[in-house]
Amino acid sequence: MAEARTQAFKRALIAYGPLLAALILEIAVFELLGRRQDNPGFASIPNLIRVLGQSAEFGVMAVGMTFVIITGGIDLSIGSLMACGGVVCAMLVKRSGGDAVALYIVAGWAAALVLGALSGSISGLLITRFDIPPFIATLALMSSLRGVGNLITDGKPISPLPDAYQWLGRQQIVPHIPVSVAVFLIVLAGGMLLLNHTQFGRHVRAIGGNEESARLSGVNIARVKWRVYILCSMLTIIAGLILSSRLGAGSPKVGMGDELGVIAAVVVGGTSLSGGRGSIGGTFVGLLVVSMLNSGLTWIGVETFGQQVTLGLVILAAVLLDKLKSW
Amino acid sequence: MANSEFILEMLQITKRFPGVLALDKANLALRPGEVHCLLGENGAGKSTMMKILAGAQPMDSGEIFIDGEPVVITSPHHAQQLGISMIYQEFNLSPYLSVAENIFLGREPRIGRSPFIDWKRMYRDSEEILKRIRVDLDVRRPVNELSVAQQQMVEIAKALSVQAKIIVMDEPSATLTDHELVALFDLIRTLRASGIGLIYISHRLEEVFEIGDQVTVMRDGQHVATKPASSMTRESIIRMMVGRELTEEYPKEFFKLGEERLRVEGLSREGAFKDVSFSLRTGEIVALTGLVGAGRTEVARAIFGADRKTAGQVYLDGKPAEIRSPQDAIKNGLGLLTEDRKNQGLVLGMTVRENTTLSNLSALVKGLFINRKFERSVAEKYVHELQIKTPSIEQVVQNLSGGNQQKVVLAKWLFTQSRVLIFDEPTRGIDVGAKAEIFKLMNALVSRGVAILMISSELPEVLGMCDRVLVMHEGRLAGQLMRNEASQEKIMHLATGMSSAA
Repeated sequence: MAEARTQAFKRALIAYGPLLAALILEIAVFELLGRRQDNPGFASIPNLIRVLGQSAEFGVMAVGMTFVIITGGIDLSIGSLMACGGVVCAMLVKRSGGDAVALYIVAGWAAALVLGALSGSISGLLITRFDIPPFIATLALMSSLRGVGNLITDGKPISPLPDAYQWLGRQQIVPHIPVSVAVFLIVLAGGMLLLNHTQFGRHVRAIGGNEESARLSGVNIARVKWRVYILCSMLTIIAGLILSSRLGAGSPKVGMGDELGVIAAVVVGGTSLSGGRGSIGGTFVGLLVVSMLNSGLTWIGVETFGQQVTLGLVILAAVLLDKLKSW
Repeated sequence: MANSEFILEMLQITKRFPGVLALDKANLALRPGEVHCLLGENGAGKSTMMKILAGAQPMDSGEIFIDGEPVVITSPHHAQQLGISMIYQEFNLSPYLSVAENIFLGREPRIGRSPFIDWKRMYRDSEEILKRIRVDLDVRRPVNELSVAQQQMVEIAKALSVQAKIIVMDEPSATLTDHELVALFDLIRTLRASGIGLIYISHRLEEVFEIGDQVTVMRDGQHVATKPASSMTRESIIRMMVGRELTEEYPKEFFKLGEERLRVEGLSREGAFKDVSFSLRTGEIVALTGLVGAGRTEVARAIFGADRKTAGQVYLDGKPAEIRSPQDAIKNGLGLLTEDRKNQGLVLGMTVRENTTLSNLSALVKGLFINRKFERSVAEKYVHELQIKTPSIEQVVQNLSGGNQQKVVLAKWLFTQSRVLIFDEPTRGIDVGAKAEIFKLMNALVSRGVAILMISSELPEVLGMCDRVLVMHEGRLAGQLMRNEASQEKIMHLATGMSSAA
């Protein structure tokens, strides 16, 4: 038993060690380069929580995406779905006209989540029943959902909205800790439990590792995959709600290209695009590496274009590192 | 040193992997025009030796001579230039390219110095090579339309097109039907006559006596002996491979027959098999045999719900069972040990523990979560009971030997409390020592009331281990033989459709 635990620790160290080292290095470098007179430094707790808050939406989606990628699939529709979720909720809240806002907000969440479940079911249906490759199925959905969002809003953001709408994205429950960060951390913990300690999670990994073996071992492939896409879509909606709340508007334009950013974080976190191998913990660290990088580069005055170049290099470095490990 | 009688000499080859001495001063010497069988259990060092020869792995120390000249093989490409060609079990063909394109892949003839391919010459040269080895194939056909045996011929043609002097064949017979095997042996004789040296690796000892000139046996990374095949017997080879006397190759035990456990009536699947009926009682092992392609595996898959059946009914313990998916089959107490363990039996990247419990996770779930402690104890129990050789239950099954992988698959079905087990080619790719262990486990299962259906092409093991033999021919059950009346000849008679039901 003790031995099993040491082994597990060793494996975790090999899996996360280099990434964690990279993260710490990143923070240290930005702390040193970004020293200014007036401020608490980059490595200060409030700043780190601020970065965490900015990556909450990405993080929530990345948890769902990790499940999808571990089954050997991909979900390109999340950027569009995220926008739709915010739009649907905002449209409902707008109708409240200022009365019973809380009730309308909750109804808006519910409606958006139903939309997410529906969208995930459609991806799942296309992939499991019609045998369409996940890339194609969700690519089609990505385009259609973006269109739907633009059609129902006429391409314009839904605003202004009552102040209460911003609770999810901006309210702090404990000083410095916004609701969104709490949601993210809950999703993260839930994702870990789900992947590592439930039958569903084990089946997800088995399918990604070898679908035919899993099927012949009695795993219901269609049902598990279906649930994975629904899970990913529902989490995407939660991310969409957080974002829309933070912005105080439901915009059909948000989230464009976010699917790729999310996939990048998952991959940097060591999850294999060919399926079977990956972890939520890895995704978390991967996400932090990416978002600390972006935020840190801004901190030291490197603007968007430079950030894009650096992110590309980091993705490559992470994948090369992974290759070296399995060598 | 030049003008040696050997086309290839590998001397004192040593290779160390972390924790293992894979090769310990191993030797191999090959003459031109010789079929040299390389034998040994899994892990004896055969494949490492061949990987070194192919330039896929560097050696730690040792010497290699080709035609008496010392060489240092630096890469697969270099090995090819030296005239060494490998034909692996998994072919290296590009499925959508034609036969000719595959033969000349990477060395396409061009029109003059232009970048354009000289198709005419490529087809003509391909045809010439195929004619040389007396194989009749349309060189314009994509290779994915060819049978496995024909693909193998293309591989060999490819080896010849690079002027190979030394050809290594790794288990070339594993996936061939008997007819195809005859053709392969003819081809090997043709190659031998032309002065090529062949290294032949196989687990089937019968083939050694049929085709081999020299035999080299390896064990634990060391060279045990090299002798003419004619001077050896099956027993002497096994003794050298295992390093001890193998008391019984087929430790058959007999048990009292009990209730009927499984009955299949009129089972059909269009295009695969038709009207198959048989039954299986507790206490017996029944073989389902026939030539490759007769529909045996397909019958097993249909019973197990892996493929849809088009007609027929399966009964378990006398009651009709609705089996539409593997889940249904497992609920009904069926287990299937597939022929292809790596792609259909195991999740290679998962641990021994995870593979063992995969089919019956619900038994381990308490509330929402898997009870890890319980799961570990289950895995430990089976590792101990089946004597699975693994450093721990957290070992990834990819790193286990074939025999131990098979045991993990078996553990999985034991944990689901299967009462009918279908073993499809249970000993394929498993070495002699581990085979006997698998058979002993089958005995133990039968003694506990499990009924076993064993699909096998290996007639000696069919005759050695089974109480009854069902023979299929072209998708139909051609006949049934009881243990005391079965013989290789009778089985082959039924399997080739030369007589109807016995």
